Amino acid sequence: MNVLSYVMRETTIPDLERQAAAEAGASLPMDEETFRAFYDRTARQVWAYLSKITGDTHLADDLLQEAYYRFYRARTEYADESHRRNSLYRIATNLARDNGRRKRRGRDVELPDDDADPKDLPIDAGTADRAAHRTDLKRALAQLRPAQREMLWLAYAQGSSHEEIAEVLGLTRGSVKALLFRARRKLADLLRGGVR
Amino acid sequence: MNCEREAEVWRAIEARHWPERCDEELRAHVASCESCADLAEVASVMVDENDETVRAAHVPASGMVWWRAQMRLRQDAARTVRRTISIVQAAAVFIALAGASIVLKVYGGFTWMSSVFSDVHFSLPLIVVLAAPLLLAPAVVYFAVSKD
Repeated sequence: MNVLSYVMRETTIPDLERQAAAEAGASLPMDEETFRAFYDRTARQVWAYLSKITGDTHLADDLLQEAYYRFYRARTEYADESHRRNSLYRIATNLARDNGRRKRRGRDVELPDDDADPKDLPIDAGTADRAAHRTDLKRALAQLRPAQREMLWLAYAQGSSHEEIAEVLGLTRGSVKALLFRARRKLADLLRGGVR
Repeated sequence: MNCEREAEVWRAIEARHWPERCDEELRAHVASCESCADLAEVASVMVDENDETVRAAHVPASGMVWWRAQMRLRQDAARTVRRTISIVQAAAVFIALAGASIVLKVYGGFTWMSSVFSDVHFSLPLIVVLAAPLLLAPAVVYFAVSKD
């Protein structure tokens, strides 16, 4: 019964194309189901990353859609989840950097203004303290170089490994370790309100 | 440079156990270790910030993003085809002009044409006028189509 149902299973043309591409070592664009599932798993984190490294939530909205389009067009059908995720973050990072370069040519970098005013956040135990920390972080991040913001956010907000950061930012693992240490020290000093 | 207990501190922060749900010994270590203190200072704030930002994020629905990607893919494909056609047309114009120049050079201007058409008594200006649309048509088509 199972053998019969397996043999009689309907084989669609896209199935055959995928099979042929897999046999030839090539890749095809993701199908809708795979793309949407991947988007649902990653979009919020990618948006958070983009909004923090650019400091602009509206820009993050635009870059998010552009990043997923370029990712889809790049054909990463047969890569594993980790490779797929790193590829998406690399695209998002490059888009943010390109935008930053254009912005710097036009005018000075602005302080991020993406977060809600801490006064508007709901009051509960510890809220005031957290709101103050968020404001401090926003100010401190604005004083870092874009590459430092990217690295710190990937490492400590999203928990990426040194290997993953190296793949996303196009650096060696050794460089990531050293640069991350320095960036962390600088941010810690800024958060404490002084320079060591 | 880095302390060997950083992984332990990071695990506590990542699990949202830092600092209240960590043992006293680890907190004492962080207080005395510069590297772990930096890690705790930075990572605890960033983990909180990520949680808040992800929670508040309003991203478009996956179906919408998929549909827009399909639309753009088709537009990009159409643009590529148009560009290819424009290049081919430009090449055709160039080849036609180059061919005409060579023919004129080899056969010494329009004298050979005058001899060919002498029986029908075509004048040289008339032949030029008749030939001009043939030479100009590809250029006209090229400029009409290659808007982008």
